[in-house]
Amino acid sequence: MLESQDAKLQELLLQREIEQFLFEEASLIDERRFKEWLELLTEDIRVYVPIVRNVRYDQAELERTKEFKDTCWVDEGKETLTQRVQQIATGLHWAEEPRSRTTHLLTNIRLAEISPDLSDPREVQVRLNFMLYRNRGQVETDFLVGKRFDRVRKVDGAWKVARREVHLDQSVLLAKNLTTFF
Amino acid sequence: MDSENLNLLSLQPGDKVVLTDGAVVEITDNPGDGVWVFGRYLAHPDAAKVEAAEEQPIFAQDIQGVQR
Amino acid sequence: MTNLSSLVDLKNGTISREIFVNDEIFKQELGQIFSRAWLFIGHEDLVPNPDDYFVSRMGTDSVILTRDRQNKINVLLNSCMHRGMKVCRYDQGNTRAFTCPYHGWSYSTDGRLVEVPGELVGVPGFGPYYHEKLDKKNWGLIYCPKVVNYKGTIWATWDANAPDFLDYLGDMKVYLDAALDHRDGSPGGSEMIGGVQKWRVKCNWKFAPENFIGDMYHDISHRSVDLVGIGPSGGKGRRDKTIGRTTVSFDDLGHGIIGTLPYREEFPYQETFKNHPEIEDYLKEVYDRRLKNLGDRLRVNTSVGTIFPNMSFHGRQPRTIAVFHPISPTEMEMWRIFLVDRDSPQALKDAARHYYMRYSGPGGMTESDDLENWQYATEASAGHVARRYHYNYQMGMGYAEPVPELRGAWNNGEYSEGNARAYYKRYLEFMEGRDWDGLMAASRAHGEARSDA
Ligand code: FES
Ligand SMILES: [Fe+2]
Repeated sequence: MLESQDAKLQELLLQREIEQFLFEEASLIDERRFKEWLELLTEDIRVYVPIVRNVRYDQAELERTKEFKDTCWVDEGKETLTQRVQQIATGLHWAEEPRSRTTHLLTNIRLAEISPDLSDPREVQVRLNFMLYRNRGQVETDFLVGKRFDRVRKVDGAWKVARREVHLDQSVLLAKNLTTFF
Repeated sequence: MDSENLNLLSLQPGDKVVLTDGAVVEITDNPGDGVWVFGRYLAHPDAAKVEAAEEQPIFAQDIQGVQR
Repeated sequence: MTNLSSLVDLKNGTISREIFVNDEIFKQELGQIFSRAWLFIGHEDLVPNPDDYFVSRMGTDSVILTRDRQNKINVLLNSCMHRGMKVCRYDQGNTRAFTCPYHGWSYSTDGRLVEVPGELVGVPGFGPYYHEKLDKKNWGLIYCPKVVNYKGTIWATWDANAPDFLDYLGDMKVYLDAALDHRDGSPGGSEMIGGVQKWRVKCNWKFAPENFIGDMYHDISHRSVDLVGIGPSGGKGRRDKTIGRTTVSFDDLGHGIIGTLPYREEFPYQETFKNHPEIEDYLKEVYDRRLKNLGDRLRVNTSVGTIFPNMSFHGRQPRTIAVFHPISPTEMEMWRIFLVDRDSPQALKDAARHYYMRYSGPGGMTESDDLENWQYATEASAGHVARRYHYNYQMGMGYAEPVPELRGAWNNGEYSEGNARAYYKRYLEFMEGRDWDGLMAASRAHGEARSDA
């Protein structure tokens, strides 16, 4: 009885730790501290955002474009994420100059898989819902809402993001561009 | 089973259905839209329709039930 | 009807902002251009098998691209003939019949059941309620009378009197071929990477084709990405510079490109994927095949081009197709499709796909800045006072040289607004409501295509 209570408590603490990490990570983006943000991504980070399509009940395998094969909205690693940060830093990236204001809201956070195990969590699959609000100029407003499938990994004692798969609910993207970070 | 309770999606080619006008139809193809199926008349009040043996679209609400 | 010739002043090289923001002109465009011109509908790879369909757009209309059981490609208006319900609310799939969810009318493209594509095959209560008095033959889905599959790209027009697609294209064909043909010079051979990017941009739809038809001048928009460098060969810049780059316009057809003049001897091999040695090996081999396949035949390189009215494409690196669907005078829906050679190694397909996406589309480090410019140019042009003033299209007026190898083609030089002027000349001809004889007379006067082009 006590043993399982301990396990629950441990899981709760881990959940709290990872939530705090993801909140801090998101706020680095919203505060435009991009260089510090890049530090929180593993070298093999992959951000992947497939395109969603309207398909019939019996053709569900077509619903999202396929990883490693099809076109998507975003499919990149550290190199291009770094390039995007550099692009913003030029001050000439008109899509983000003047800068957009963004706010990430992260909710419904669940730990889907802890490996190797709870006593020594080194890699955790996290599922969550998000809203990424963006406002730029006077009235330009985007709401990007969806599900996130994150993988966080402990590197030298600190959590880092190793993978982020984003399922947007929009099939036709209602934002003219994607120049902020998920 | 009457047509109100029949989900057309459950019909397979080869199944036989009875229509409200008494015709009997063998399903040849189910496009899966839940509203129509394709079939051939095995029996029909108008004998000419059976002989034509062409595939016909059959409407959900015209189906009385499945023939066992 | 708004009088357009005062708005598109070709003599002075100025164009009124009204054509970019005015509601009434927008409606005229839908009637005069989008319901008559050849429009890009999609790629055959979207409908590889019988009964496959893909929902596309023509102007503000939803249309269904289908491959029927006889392997014929059809384009149907996606609106039920009974009360207008959208008969297909999916983006793509496979179906034998399109059944309206409202009252159940059902339409088919199967040539064994119907005589014309989209014919009405099922009407609930045809006997008991209609007393068999509904003329089914006359109430099928509206379909495009002319549809063409050109090297995998599908084009259609609502106008049965429209000229054949190849006439409409003229010698712009060689520049489109440069994008659709295999890199080794053999005809066709490109395939579409799965998935279509679709997104909304609050700009007038013409900003995009005008940009892609030959606006080298806007290079400065892309300074930030050039400073970072995103090409697959590393280093600065966002793509490889086309050797011998210029702009060419087809003034009687409204098409144009940034690319090369026609040439007969291949340029020396240029490394385009320096960061990927195994791909370089393949491309070098393709280059050698190209030398053999083309010999001393006429060829071109296309960096980017526009086919009037709303399709643009990148020919090399990246290699893409874009369509600009009008939504309102101040909004478009943009689509992007990416191309690779069908038989190229997976490593190249992967590297190309990644490069295309970091270049183009809403997440593209290049395209994202174009979208910002088009949106706020549209917004700022809509002001009451702003509308009184014309845009300036005078760059390079009077400096074009004919391109002798191509019918009706003009070399405007690397930096010129000659291509944009050609586009709006064509725009005006359509908007004036000229019939096809009037629209095609000037280009037909150039005679038949060369046999080696
Ligand atoms: S609207 Fe389609 S059947 Fe009535
Ligand atoms: Fe551009």
